[in-house]
Amino acid sequence: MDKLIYAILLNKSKTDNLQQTLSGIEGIDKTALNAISFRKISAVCGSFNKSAFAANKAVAIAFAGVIDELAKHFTLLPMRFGSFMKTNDDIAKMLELNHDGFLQNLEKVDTKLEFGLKVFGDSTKIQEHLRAANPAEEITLDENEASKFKAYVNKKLQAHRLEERTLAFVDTIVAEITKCLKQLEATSKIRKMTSESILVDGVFLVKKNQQQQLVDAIGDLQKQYPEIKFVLTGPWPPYSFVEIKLK
Amino acid sequence: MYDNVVDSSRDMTLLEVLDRVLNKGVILVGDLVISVADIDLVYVGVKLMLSSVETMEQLKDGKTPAEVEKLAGKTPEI
Repeated sequence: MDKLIYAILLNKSKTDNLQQTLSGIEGIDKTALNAISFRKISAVCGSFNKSAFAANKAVAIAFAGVIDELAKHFTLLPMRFGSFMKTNDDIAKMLELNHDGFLQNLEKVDTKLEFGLKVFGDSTKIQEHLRAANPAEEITLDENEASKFKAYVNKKLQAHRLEERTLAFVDTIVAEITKCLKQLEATSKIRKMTSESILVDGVFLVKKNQQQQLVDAIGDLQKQYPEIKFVLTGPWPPYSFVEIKLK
Repeated sequence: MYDNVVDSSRDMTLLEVLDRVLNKGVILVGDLVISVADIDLVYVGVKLMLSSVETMEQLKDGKTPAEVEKLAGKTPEI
């Protein structure tokens, strides 16, 4: 049987307590969970026949559910779905080789929660809004000037200005979000304009006791900018803040 | 109308979960199941999007995400 690894966790208590906690949590397909430990870190895994492993949506969600349950009890680093090793010894060796990196990552996320924020906007509506807010910048040609060439250049210029204003608008939103996060001393990763409708795509790592402040801050931003949609998700285990290259 | 909103919200949460388990986390080199059937990670457009503020308001009242989920009978957005 192969070993499916769910997460690497920081073992703050005795190994007996760890095994006891794990006995109350089921793996996917109701399989039992086991811990392989090295010093202060442990890998939580279950036994599976890799060739019979069904890699589908339902199993991926069940996998996430197990990690979510583990995160209620431990500081952990989630493993990517479908991470298999052949034996317990292989896992122990992997933990030993990467102990310092795991520990560093675990300490970074200890007592913290991940949140995701997506800011959605209908680009057409935003551009209409910006156009209405800046009517002076609209270029109009009198009939004598309205040659096909000038009309074309004019159209392109206006589209360019509108795009610049849209980007400036997104920058303003990002600046507002960053200001909130700075007050919460949160770690963040933010990307802009990841698609036509996603203006901002960010993930934050905030202290557990500051969860409510984050929710309040994003709620306030939503009230301030009703023309766009702020969608905050979480709390998540720290999926997006794992920075380790395994040896 | 409201039902659509709830369904879209559930889809969004589902996509967020799948995005994380499939694309993030610790990566084992060489022994990872990389092909996952029946998963299409495409975000729904803004016109199908939902109100997250309502959920936030419930959280403001001191409810945990799990309690919000139980109350709403759906997967929580936050």
